[in-house]
Amino acid sequence: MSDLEWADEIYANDLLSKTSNVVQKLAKRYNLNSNKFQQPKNKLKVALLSGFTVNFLADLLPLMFFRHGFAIDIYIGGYGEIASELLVPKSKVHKFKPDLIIILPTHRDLVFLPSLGSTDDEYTLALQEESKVWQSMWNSVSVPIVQLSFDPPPSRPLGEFDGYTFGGLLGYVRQVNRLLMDNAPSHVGFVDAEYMACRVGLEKWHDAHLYHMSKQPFSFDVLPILSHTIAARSKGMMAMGRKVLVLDLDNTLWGGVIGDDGLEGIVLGSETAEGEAFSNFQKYIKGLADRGVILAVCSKNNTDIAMQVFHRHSGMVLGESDIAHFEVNFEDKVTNIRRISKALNVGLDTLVFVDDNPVERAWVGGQLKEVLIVDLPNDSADYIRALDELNAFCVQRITNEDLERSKSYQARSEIIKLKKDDDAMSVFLQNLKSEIIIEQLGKGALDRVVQLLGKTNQFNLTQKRYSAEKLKSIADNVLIVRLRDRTQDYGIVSVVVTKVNNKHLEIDNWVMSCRVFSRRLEYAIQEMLIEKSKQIGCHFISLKHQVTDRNGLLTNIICDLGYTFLDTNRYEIDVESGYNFTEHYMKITTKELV
Amino acid sequence: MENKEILKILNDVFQEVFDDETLILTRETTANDIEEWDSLNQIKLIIESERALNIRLKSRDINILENIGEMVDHLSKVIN
Repeated sequence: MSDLEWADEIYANDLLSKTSNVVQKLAKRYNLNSNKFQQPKNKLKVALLSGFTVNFLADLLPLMFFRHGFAIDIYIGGYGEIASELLVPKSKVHKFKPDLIIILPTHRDLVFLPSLGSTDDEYTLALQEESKVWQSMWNSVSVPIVQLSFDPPPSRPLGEFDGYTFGGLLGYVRQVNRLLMDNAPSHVGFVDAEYMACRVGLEKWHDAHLYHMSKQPFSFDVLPILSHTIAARSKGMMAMGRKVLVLDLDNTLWGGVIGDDGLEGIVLGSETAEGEAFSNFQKYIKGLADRGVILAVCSKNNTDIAMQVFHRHSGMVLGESDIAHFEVNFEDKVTNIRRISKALNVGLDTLVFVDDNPVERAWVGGQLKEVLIVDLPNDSADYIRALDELNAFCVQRITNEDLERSKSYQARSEIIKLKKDDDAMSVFLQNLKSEIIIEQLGKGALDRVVQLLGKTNQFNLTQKRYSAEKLKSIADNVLIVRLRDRTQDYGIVSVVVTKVNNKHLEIDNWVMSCRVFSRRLEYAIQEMLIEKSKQIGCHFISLKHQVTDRNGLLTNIICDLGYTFLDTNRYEIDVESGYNFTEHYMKITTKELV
Repeated sequence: MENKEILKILNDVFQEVFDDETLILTRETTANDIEEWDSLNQIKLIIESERALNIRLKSRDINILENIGEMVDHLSKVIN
């Protein structure tokens, strides 16, 4: 922590509601004093390529990335040299060896706009040409790219037809964006410029006065939200976005206090304006859950009384089954949030905490620095915006696993209840009729595999991360494990990256999703690895366990699986004699294994 | 608006942009006297002065000014 008197402002939750000159000043102070702040472990070399003057934006980026857990080092590409920087192999940007590239074009960088009255064919051809250029730029690198999509132009010569007629620039911008987003490789992610322009207002997005003075197209007011969004999107592209939303109940999900006001007294539902605002906030949260954000409740309440609302109030959008874990009691919220993190098997740095009470927010914020706290405004009508603009749950892509997630967390809490009783556990696992399917990495699975390897913290042997390119090149040695049971299909839940070295099958990394812990899946996978080793003539399986503050649970698991400790962090198992058979009740199907 | 008042507002803008509360402008101050006064900060100064005085400036007019005194005189003409 720093002794600078303005240091707290760096962390302030309401930074985005400050005016641009305040944020610019703070960013400048941060840039001059960054060594006085404890720097994040994640260091990134960021290349910034743009079609306009990007210096003012670049001034804000270190601060915004710092707030997202990254220490960055920036290279700014030549003005308007996006293509030449990327396409020339020995250009400065390639020499810089960035970990992340931010590309900021504008509608001025579109080159093939068809003229008014073009035919369908000419129009399609133009779109293809436009797309081809970008594909080749993207393919010149394998590190993550965060790109601003093309922005709506400031004026519409065709009036209301500009967005829909061939030859209209606005329409062309929309079509190109759609085409690029649909066809971008997995290492490219977008920040939606059309939405950004709506968010700040077109008159701020296009500041002609400033553009002619500086060649920065938008007003200074755009800088805070744009730099914040770029940092959030980048975090998502590194598969490090947050995962869990922790919710208070009274005056957060509904108006009033259920313990005092009773079921009839709380404000919720479309009958009143305020009640509708709370229902809408719940709808927004439900939308987050549907795309894979995990919900938990942390409330000072009597459980039975609070659950009445979930069971009996007609204005509730969220149901009990939408919540993966409840901590409803009168203990302090720091203790309860720690419990939530433990029960869901996720790190504190994946949590976002929403509470209307500033005292609770301050208490949690002071004790648990890793948790992101949302400063809820006084008016419940503004809750959605406060949460939405943080963009905290950014992901690289929304995968099928994301869509299925909320279900599997419920199954998991069932398992935790049963775990205490060994016999009951065996019966339960047997009844689940689980089946795992092992296959080599194919193209369709790449996004999910990159995500799983990047995001898993607990069951992660070596913490080694792989780019999509790297994985493609060793696809034969990447084993992916899908799981399904009677209740649902979980998709890909584990990945083992292997390497054959003489008579050893070496495990380069092994990750497993925490959603499927306690199901003895690791035993089934170990059994498969033993079989595979025998088939290819390996006598030993060896692995390294790179211990971090998150993956300590693996030490026991490795021993339980039958591995013998060699030295420091190395373990080995004799394929013929070492395996510690444990009944896992899983059917193993192997596809196309060599 | 009096020139004295304009100078005072300009002084606030400069203090804000350069994040230096000790900075005191005089009519004789030039870009050479303030180390950080580069072309990018020049743009910030123009934008923030416009905001503070609620006016619009042309960079062409500003860029030919020799010192703060001339700037104050120019602003006075635009305002009044």
